[in-house]
Amino acid sequence: MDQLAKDTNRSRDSLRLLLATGALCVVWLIILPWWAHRPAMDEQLRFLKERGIDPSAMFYTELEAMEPILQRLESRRKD
Amino acid sequence: MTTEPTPCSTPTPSSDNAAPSGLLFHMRTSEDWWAIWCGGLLLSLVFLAVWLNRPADIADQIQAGETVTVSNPLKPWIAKPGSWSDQPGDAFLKSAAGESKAVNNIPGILGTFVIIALLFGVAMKIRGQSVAAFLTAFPVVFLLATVAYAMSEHTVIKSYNLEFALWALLVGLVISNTIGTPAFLKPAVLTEFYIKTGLVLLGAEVLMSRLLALGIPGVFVAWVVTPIVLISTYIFGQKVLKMESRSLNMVISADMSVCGVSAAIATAAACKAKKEELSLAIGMSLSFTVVMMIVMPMFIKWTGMNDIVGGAWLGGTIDSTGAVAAAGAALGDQALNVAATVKMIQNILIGVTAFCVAVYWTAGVEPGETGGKPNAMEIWNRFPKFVLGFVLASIVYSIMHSQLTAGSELVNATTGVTKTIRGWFFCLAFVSIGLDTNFRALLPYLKGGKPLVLYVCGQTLNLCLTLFMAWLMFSVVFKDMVQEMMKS
Repeated sequence: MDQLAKDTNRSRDSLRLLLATGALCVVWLIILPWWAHRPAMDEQLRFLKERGIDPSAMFYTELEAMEPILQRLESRRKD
Repeated sequence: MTTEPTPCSTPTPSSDNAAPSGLLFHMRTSEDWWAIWCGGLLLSLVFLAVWLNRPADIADQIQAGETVTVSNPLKPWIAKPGSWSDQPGDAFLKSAAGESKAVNNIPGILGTFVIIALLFGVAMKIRGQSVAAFLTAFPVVFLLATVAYAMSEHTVIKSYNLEFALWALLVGLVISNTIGTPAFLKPAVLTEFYIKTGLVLLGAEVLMSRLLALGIPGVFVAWVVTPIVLISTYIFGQKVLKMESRSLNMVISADMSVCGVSAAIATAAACKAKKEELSLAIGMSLSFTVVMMIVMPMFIKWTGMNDIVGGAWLGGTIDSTGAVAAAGAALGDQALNVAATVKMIQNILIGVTAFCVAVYWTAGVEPGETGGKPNAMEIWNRFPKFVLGFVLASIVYSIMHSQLTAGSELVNATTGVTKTIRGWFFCLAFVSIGLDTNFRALLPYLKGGKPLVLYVCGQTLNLCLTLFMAWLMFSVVFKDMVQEMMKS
């Protein structure tokens, strides 16, 4: 009986994992790629890329847009 | 599966009331010290590779005013998944198309895996833990971190400032809350070790020499307002909201006032916050950042605010660095320059914040909880030692940056690689938090909505005070100096 309950629980847990993974796959493989090509989003992504801006950068060293700003600051410091 | 909240910084020999005679023993076995050894070794080796690879005539090039290029020979062997829009495989391998170059991140990701596995394997061995158990579990945890990193690199996700920490947490939570975290993975679920080592590496990016990048006005906005807001919010949480957890109060106050996720990670480790508290603080910070990065530029345009003042306001208030740049760019180049620079100055505050919080916690908070007045030795024993590595890395790299010939280029080439390893350590840490967390453990923290009230009240104060200081410094007191600076 205990074994049966364990097996049922295991199957239920595996099903939950499968469902969660499936939901994530739908979002990342279907919805987000579709969203990326919507005109407004496409324009926004292009705008950010042209300026070297990664809005998810955690620290200033991860920001490409910081490089020209830092170069300008460095050259002013050296002058 | 852990259901009880556990500290983000578990008590280690270094933080216990250990006998001073055991210092060498703790230096050999404790997680805090090993974070310093691992971080220090990585920083030293990467810098050595850069130093040996520098152009022979670098001093002459500098003398002649030429642009110096210093490359890092380790760069091809250290990488993370790249950005993608249509195919997740593009995060790893992408052929050249149009203006985009071909990308192959696979050797870099594998290289990073080998480096971390080797380093932590050796650390485990010397600390007297099972290397085999760690090396069996680590590939799976690293694989989960890779999946989370690739998820965070989708262009739409990135554009909304939804950082990898969130997705790493989610990947871990999905496993721990469905099938449960398998026991064999536990030896590589090393949240605190990953965070502390990552923070020591982050120290090298905290360059004090960049503090005066915007002169006095920048210091006033980023270094005067920020501590005032942090301390006021913390006191408000304790005295008015009467928050049960001091550490949650501190982590929310720091991530809201300093610089979002990175400040939350550093402060949580410094005040030994619980991992659930760190997750909650980061979740709140990212949610508010998404709203602020969209609404604030609209508000600034609507009010006709000066771009420089607007940029300084954005830089001083929006939590995340990337979101500050995105919001600044929406206003224009000048606002972007000011916003990003103010944020950079605020980023530098992270080292001082972590150090002060660690001192306050060990000297002021922990003794109050246990009773009695601590002596200097007790404070030293309780002090989270990795903070010393973090501060030391910052000091050493700041000196090298300002004193060495081509210091800026050498340091940038070094941190260009160590920042990627640091990102992996944080990603591994958040996967570990997810693997070690039950959804139900998060619920008590949401009770009564106090964390939300704290964040909203603190951020309101931050918005008002920063706007006043930005206006006063950039538009009244130092107006001419700032205009001149923007022209050059």
